[in-house]
Amino acid sequence: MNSNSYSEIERNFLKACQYVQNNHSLLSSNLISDLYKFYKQAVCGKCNVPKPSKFNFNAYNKWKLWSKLGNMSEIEAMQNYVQLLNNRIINWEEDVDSQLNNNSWVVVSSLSAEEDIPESTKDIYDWVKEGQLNKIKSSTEKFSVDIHDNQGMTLLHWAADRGHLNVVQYLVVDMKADMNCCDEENQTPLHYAAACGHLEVCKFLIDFGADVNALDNNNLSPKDIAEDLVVKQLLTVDD
Amino acid sequence: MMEETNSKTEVVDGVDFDCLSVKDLKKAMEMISRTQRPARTPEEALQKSYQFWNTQPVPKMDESINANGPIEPDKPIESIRQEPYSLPEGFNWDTIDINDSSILKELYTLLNENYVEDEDSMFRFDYPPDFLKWALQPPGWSGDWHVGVRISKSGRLVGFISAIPATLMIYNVKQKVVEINFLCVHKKLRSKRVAPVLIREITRRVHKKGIYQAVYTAGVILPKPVGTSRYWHRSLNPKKLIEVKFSHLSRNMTMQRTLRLFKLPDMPDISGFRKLVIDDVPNAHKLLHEYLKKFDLVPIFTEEEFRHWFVPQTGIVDTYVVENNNKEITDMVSFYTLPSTVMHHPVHRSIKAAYSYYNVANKIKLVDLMKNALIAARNDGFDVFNALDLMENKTFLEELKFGIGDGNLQYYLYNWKCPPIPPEKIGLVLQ
Repeated sequence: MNSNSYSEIERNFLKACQYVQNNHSLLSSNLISDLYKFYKQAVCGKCNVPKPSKFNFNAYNKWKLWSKLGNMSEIEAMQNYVQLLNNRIINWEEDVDSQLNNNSWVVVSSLSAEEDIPESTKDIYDWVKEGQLNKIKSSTEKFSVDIHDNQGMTLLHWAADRGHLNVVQYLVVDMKADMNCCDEENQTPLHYAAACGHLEVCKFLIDFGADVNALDNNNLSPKDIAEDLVVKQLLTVDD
Repeated sequence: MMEETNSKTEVVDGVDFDCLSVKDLKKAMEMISRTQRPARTPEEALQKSYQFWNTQPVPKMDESINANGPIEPDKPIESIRQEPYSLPEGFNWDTIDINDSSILKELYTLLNENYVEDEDSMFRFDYPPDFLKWALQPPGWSGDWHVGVRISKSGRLVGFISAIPATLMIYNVKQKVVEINFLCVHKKLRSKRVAPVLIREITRRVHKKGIYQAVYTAGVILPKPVGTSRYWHRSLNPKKLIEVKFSHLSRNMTMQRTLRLFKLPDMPDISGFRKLVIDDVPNAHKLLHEYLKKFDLVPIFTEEEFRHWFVPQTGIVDTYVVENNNKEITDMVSFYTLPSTVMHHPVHRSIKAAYSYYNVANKIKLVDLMKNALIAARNDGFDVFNALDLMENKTFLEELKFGIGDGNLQYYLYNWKCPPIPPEKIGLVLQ
């Protein structure tokens, strides 16, 4: 038992059972009968069924293996079961997961997602980054719109960076966010929208009076850092 | 069978184990499987699929193998079953003539709509018709090995499997094999167990031509992978990949910084880096042949096969070589093109992906060669460059900002036993 709690052992055991169940026909019969005795001991306890006839060879052998375990505890049997599988099948645990998640012959791989952030720990900055306008509006959290976060960015910087036009509009029109607030590199929200090629966000910010000539610490204007030709042109026309 | 699988009263080999406390166990197991994602096909299907593989000459999952050779001996040709395996009532076999463009279109549609089984997947492979011709008609291809299943009444194509000839070097053994690919059954037929019949039938047709080994890859785990590799992805158009949720911005990462991170130089910078042309084939072929000797599972291409697989074809395959001042080919890099359909997106319909194929770094460092391939692919409008972590790819993946993917690719050999091959010893890429 040592460091492992009962529930952990049980969990591992059940997962191992699931693996064996799914892959039953792939395992050698020796392994199956060794697993079997621990399984019976874990689930039923001490062997308590009558001895089958010796002529019924399989049943007799199974019975013999099980009854040999005597008074082995449930915990010990579960641990033995898992241990045996660990020794014989490398990565069986991964297999259970991938069998559950993927029964297709063919999958299109995409980039692994980072861990999900639990909803309960999300704050107004997360809603802005995700473009969840409804959650921003219904947020009971009191927020002052022009506060800089630990990266030196305001909510409007984030909304402009992510390209969420509706959030940008809300922050500017309803929340009166400062259009020309600067981050630590002296970049305005328009710098972000321009660099990321968010055309509609750029248009909106310019229409509402964002400074197209603002220079960051490298003396670059939004136009200078824009890659997208249409965005560059938009910023040039208004130059 | 063990009684985990079945009801509360079990008769195991004649012993009556009644009234056992399996109930609690079952309840707990249900709970566990509920907290994880449910299997996408019914469990019985999985169970039956293993029952099928149990009848095939493939190693057991827990078998440890020291040998390197066939599991079953070659069968005399005259002992091979003459007539096709029988299909469920209402279906018939049809050999698919992909030189007929309307039939090719049918195959394209079947694969496009059904190849990836996952109903709620966000991306689906979209093998273009010309790509299918490239993949299915290499030198020595056989029409008989493009096996279709149709609904007898409507004539609709609802199933497909293919084989193409190839020669492999498995450790030190040269072996004639087929590559099995494009196993596809229409969604509505998944319950009819057509896939095993397709596999049996293609096996029969391959046997009839005197070939008894096969190689195939799959996302799913079957008995028994000879090796496992993982996809890695390098963003070329990060903004689009984020918009279609192929990649993700972490909490504290700005898009602006991400775009800067993945920015590449405007043009390839290795001198003598250019597209492979027909005249390069003999030298490039030799170059690749020599290079592949360092791996334990590799294809042996004839010059003719090399020409088929590597001479650039727009939208199918690209190969670049490095030519030195003496007009010698010193290095090569190649990738094939495979778009994926983006499901349910208002703006983007498709992702254009390059898949790293075979690369030989000789005079140039592999990481520099691959960087030039990334630049060339970006300039050709690719959104992402994919590579498996096999051959020597691990030496450049992280440095060139590839991110690890969520999909494994399992390698399988049919009717062959050999010790497992780690990814850095796998030198084989299938389409």
